Amino acid sequence: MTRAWRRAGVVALPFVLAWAAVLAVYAALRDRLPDRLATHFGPGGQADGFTGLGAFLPVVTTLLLLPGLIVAVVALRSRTALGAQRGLVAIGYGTAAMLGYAHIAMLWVNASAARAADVTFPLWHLALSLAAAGAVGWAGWLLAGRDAAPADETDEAAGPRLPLAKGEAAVWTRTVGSPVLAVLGAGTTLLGVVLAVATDTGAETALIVIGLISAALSRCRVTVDRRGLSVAPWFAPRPRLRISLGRIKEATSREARALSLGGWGYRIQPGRSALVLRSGDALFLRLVTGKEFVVTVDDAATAAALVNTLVERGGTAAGARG
Amino acid sequence: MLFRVDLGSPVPLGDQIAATVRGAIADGTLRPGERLPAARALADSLGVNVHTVLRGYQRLREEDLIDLRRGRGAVVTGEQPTARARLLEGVQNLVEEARALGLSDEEVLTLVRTRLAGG
Repeated sequence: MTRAWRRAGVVALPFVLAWAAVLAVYAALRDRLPDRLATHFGPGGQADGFTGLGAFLPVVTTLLLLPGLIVAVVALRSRTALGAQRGLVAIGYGTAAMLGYAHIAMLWVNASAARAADVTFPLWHLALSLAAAGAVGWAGWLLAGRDAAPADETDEAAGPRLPLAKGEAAVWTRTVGSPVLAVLGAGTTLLGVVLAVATDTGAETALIVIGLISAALSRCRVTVDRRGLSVAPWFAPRPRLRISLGRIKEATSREARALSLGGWGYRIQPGRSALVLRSGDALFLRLVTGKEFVVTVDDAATAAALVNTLVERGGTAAGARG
Repeated sequence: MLFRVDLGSPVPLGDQIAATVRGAIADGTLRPGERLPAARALADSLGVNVHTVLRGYQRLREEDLIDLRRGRGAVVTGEQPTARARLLEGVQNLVEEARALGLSDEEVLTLVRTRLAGG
């Protein structure tokens, strides 16, 4: 939990700092600020929009603290390390810096002018705000990198192994069905057929196609062999999803709820993609990129053991060769 | 289920594949109605010839453990395949032990016949 709070603090920090900085400048310049602030500027930097001074603080607070609050809540609820989403953290830092700089610069030009209508906003402020965004975003990138993904939460006990003799080839394969997708697919197809008979809207073809695809993919064959992991529909070798051994770092297995993986079907979340056909036994692959691939399938423990053994074997074979 | 074949073993690969499936049926990993992987796919996975896999599947069909139908693939049969697979494993053991003892085929058959006649 404390780790989640620390992450929330890290992602919210730039927004809070930017807000505090704008507030400090506001307090320092308050005596020199006009009653109506020039808050919008035309392409030439001439003021063309004005806001009452009283509205400034609520607007700034909402603009900076609300996004800060949102990213903090997202970070609290996520279990992904910041190191796996450095890009997003950097964008947050850059945005906070740009917003903070823009508001401070705006206060500054307002305080320097005699009348609100005379206020100009030199365009170099825009360039500077982008530079500030880049620099602070870079700092966010570095800071997020300190929260390394593999080191702290996925390094459990070493994954299981399956003893294999030297000349022995092993293949693990199993089908897994999804009642949810099957019912959904059948229902959608039926709806399409009913619509096709009853109406003439043109949408029914799409419904039937989507329904048939869902139904067809509601049963898959998961295979682990010398090439890696592959998932294909049970009745045909294609379309096929394949993760080669070289991309896999380690495999584990555990029970997982479909909803905790993001729902049924092929789910993509930050740092993880998952093929979810049902709740229950699931195979977790940690990839060399630090990301995770999950597929729900029975007897995942054997599959994980074989993956680890084959990955190890591939590693030593490659090492021996060169 | 887990297929394992030892490429260095003197036992034919097709027989090894059949033995793996038989074992999986006997211990309940493969249940009646379950489908075996397509021969082509399994051959690619194991790195063996597709005919080798088909030979193994053919053997299982002769033992009435699976149904082989064009277009439907190989399916575990519905009639007590578990008990049947266990029996076949017993027969396999009998043969192996008799060979190890140096008994001739005729001697083994005589032994079994006597046993059957005795009830």
